[in-house]
Amino acid sequence: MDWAVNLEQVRFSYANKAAIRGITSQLRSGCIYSIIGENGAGKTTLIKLLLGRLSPASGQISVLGHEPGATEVKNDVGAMLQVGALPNNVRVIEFIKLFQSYYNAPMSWQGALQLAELERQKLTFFGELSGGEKQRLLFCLALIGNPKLVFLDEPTLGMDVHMRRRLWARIVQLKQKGTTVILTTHNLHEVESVADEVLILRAGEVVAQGTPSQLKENLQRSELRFLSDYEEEKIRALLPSFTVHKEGNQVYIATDDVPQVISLLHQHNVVMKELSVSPLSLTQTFMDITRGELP
Amino acid sequence: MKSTVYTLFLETKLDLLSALRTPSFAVPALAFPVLLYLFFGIFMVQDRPQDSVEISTYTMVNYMVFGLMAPSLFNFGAHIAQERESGWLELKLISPMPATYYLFAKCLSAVTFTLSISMLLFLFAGSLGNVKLELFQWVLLLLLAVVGTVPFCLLGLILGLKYSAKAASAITNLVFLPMAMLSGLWLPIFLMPTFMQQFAWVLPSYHLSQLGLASVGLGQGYSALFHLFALFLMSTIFLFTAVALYKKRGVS
Repeated sequence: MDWAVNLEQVRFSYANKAAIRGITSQLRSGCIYSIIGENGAGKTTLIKLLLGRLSPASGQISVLGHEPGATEVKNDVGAMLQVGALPNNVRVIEFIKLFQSYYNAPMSWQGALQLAELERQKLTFFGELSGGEKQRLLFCLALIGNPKLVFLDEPTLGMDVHMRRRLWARIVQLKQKGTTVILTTHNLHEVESVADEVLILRAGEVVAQGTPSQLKENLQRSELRFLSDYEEEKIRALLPSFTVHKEGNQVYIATDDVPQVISLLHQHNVVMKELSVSPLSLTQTFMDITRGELP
Repeated sequence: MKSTVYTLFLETKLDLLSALRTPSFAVPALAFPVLLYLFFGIFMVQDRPQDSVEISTYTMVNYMVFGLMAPSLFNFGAHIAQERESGWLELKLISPMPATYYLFAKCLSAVTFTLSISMLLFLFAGSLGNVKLELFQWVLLLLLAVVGTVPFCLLGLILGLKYSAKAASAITNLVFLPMAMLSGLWLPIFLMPTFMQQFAWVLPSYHLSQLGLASVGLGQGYSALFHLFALFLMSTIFLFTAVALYKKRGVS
């Protein structure tokens, strides 16, 4: 098997606080992986370890067959990080030509502009770009060296719906070209349709890894949905052993015993409108896996 | 990487362009030393024909040192702190470009400022101040300015790596202005109270200005070798401190 990334018992701590607790995982070449987890779960630390920006306290990491951050690897790795700001008074084309000069076999600057859909903004200063345009420029800078492995940290942040769809399509095209993509995002609906595998991180550990459907099947649970004015906290109090989530008036409950949940809610006079039952979504799976007290 | 020279050229060009497109940085950096020189080194001494040329030469050297300090300290101090915090430096560090290119380009950018300021000062000194030096003395001064940029770049790097963006900007100012004053760049050092004169021994700007003055025949007593050694020693201390901070910050 051709592994793009291999982690063996990797541990890392900030001062005395463990951030990564013995992660062992293999990521195949040419696949799209999504690392998901709550804030502070260790996603950014893991990416920094894979990029060689942090060194593990113990364990082994191999990226494209080398140590992370090694000169041999850097030419084949691209990264789109959550950057606060690039210098505001530098033009789009200037960033592109500069990054192009870093790599052995970069794409043309015209190709890079096309990829970012920033042809018309090529002379625009970074400070004058919209949030979505800035993200597209960062995306293009990550890919300008034609990498074999690319890290995308929240790539669709600040993008409109149309742009998000086009970006996900581009990510799928990368996979078709054989590029390994490792991404983090909070948009689990979108991940579900593009990711080959999902790694769920919780308190520095991989608590689940598999295809989105494997993760959902393993839980063998369903999602109960209905509209209700009842407060989320009150529903939670009625169903302490189930994962309850409410967005607006829409209530989502992950359960392996739909009749019991309905019966319980009914007993407490919870009015349920537009009730439906469906297989668990990745969002609910994620919430179900990561609920409970942290270690 | 395509070519080291091409990447360095682009890095330097972008750093320079970014600095020049920031008027709040570029205008004072270029204009202040020249305006101060025109005022104190030329117009204020016009009624002293007996020593006006000597004063014009003395102030030219001191404002040259004053002029090279600001771009070196601020381009490294405040700008590196900003670029580190914003993540711009991080993006470069994960690329195949060696981190040394980034620093070298910043140094070249500071040297370009130094050369521009020095040439402007030389132009006014030669034309309006009647400063007359041998060709080798002009060249020597220019060389001193270029080499003298290095310790201030290193000091700026220490500030940029140690402090946050906001703090680095304020602290660089706190270092820059007193250092210029206590080195005698604004007011001849012998006119200061004795206890204030003692600070100059530990300031690179003092030793650089004394080297400059010695090269135009206005040395104030100590040998040029002594000042050269002091400057070298300070640069070495700055270099080791910067390297230690550099490793601590993971900038490698």
